[in-house]
Amino acid sequence: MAKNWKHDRAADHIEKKIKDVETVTIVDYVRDMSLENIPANKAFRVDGVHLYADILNLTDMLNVTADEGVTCHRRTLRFLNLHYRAVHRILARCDARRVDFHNQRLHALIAKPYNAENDAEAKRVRRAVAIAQLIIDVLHETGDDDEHIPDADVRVGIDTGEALAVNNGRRGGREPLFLGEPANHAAKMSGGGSNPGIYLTNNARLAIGLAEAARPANTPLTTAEIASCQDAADLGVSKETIMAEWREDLRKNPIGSFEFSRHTPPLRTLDMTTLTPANTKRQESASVYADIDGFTAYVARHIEETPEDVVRVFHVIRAELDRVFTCDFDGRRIRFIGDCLHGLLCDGTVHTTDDKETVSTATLCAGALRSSFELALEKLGDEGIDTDSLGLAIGFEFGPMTITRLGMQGDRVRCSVSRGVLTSEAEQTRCSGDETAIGPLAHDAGTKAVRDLFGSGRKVKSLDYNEAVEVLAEKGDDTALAAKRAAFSTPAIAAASERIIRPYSERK
Amino acid sequence: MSPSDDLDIIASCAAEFGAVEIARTRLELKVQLPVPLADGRSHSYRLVIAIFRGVATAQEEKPHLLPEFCPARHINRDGSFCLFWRAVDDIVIDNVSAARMWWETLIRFLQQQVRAARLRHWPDAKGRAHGEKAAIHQLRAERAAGRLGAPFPEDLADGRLIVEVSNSSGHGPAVRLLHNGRRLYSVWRRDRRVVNQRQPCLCPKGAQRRPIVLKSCGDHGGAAADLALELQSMAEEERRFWNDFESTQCCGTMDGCPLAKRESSVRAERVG
Repeated sequence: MAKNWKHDRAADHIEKKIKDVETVTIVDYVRDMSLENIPANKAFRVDGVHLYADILNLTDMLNVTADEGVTCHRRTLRFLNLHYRAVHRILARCDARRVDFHNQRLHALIAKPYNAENDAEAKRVRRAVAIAQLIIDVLHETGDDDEHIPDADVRVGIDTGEALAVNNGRRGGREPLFLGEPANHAAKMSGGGSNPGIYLTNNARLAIGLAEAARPANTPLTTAEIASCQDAADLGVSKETIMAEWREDLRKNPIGSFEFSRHTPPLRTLDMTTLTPANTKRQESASVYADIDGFTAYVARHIEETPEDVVRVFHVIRAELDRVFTCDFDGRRIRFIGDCLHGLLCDGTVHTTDDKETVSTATLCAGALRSSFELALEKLGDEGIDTDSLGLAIGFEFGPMTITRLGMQGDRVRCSVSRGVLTSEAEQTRCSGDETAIGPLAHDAGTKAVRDLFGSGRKVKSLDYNEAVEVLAEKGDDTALAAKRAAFSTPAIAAASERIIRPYSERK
Repeated sequence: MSPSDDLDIIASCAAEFGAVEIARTRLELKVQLPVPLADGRSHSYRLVIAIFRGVATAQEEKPHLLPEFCPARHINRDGSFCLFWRAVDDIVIDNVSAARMWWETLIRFLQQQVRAARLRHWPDAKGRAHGEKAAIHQLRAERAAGRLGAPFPEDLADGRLIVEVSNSSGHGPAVRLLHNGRRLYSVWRRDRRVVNQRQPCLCPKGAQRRPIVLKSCGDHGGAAADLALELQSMAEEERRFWNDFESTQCCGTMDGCPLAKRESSVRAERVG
């Protein structure tokens, strides 16, 4: 049956989700509160330091071979796995909270010492800097020459301030997700350049008595500044200790070799909890990123006066995007990265992916995500909730994708990494809130209808589901034609919707 | 047949398309017509359908979901929908099959209106040119493109071909045909012939290892000249068409509408 989007189905779900958050509670996060299993209608206001650490040479790993074959993927996953395990140890020993690993990017929160203590913010920032340096030092030694795994080059971004901790929506809702400027700005610092080092926002710089920088993303902390933070933070754990523990752990629990197999489409039926290095999925698929544009500014506008609306908007939009991706289009959501959804789609058989159908489905899905997003804004607006200046930026790419879980046994993290995943994210970042972009490989793999739709710039404005179906079906795209035929149950209307008309204009 | 008989034929198929009859006079039929979309939405239009000598027209009873007037959305000054060009695509309502075709055209027209409102331009390039004279030139250009063969008909339909006039020379002005902004060839306007007739033909024979030149490739030299010149004439006639609406207010729903441009220049003059 053709995958499709229906207005009424989306409307019903959105209304249910709005009901879930009719009453929202915002609680200031203080000592000994648990951030696990936060209910959908609750959020914690957390004053803390956000640390993002980006491994800069992941792309080099993915491009180690000309073709994106199993060797390249095997080495990349092993590279990440070794480093995830090392970082896991550091965070555990330094009482920092891992929020997420998203491929090459680690997000951690340093919430201690709490504000009850004097000069707490400065202490947290200094602690974050010390942890960052420890991560850099350790990952500089966690390569594996035997397996052609290089050491990691790391760039860290740090910001401090208030963010809202909400349920991250994963199964069991175990871990929180943070919304707001400090998380976003820290990510921008780590992702804002190609030079390693530790980069603080001006907020964070001021908190530890450093002068504001004209261009903070180009102003790494000096060795002396880092040393001063290390002395003040006194983490109580050294690089040597972490390395010794990491080696002992590897000896006791060696990383199994990565074995690849395909999952019979659709990817929706893939149970991610069964994935391990030895049971890693790898197949040609479409990677989709859908990011709520303007949401960080929205949180900043509302965090003081109406944080409840932030929770409502976030909960409703995210749940609906997830439903569309998973239920309407049989996709596999990999994770939410803040206000961004990342997932994979695949059409075909256990043996082969139907490239053209997969790209057409991804195009329709992108349209459906926008339709649902706009409908959610409309319904939230009907409830008197401000949704001004929010948009949805969507990017997707096609190619061989991996899906697995990495890290420590019992605490594995979902991971889907490939050139296509990185490209789809890059495609999304070149979009404004009403645009959808397609990667070069998806563009080439798609039908002529898809190529014509996106044009040579590989980007299109205002593409909702109705438009995606219509414009692809007009050019003979089989997937869109099937979706369009399924949409009209009345034969007369179906015939009308396929009629080619040539309207005219008269002078009268 | 009397108008009333023709209306009966139209009305007899209304239910198949989900239309509900609200009222009827000898010359007019009022219906409520839900128009379903591919995404499951349905917009309901209250329409007045009139018929005269077998020609049916439709318009909103009151402008509610559509603009009162918008040539870019094929809505005439009297509010009627310009569903087709009668000279070529006429549907004479003299039997049930013709009535069905008319209903299908009406529903598709209204589905395309929803897309036009969102995109702020007509959703496909299949619309006829504005005004009869321009439409005639467009038709001739389409025939010329057909004579040249693929990909010219599709490129023309998708709006990838445009023309521009270059400076005069001993042969008078030339018209350049551009494909996605890149010049394909130029045509002497006065002589109605391609400037460089020794260039490889535009069809696959011109891409062979030993290409056939335009002049020697059957009718293709003439077809290429006709295509460029008819497109140029179409553009000129469309400009005249829009000039006829000088004092008319723009509905503001379409980007690049000549009426909007004219309005803003008038406003600028007033401010100045």
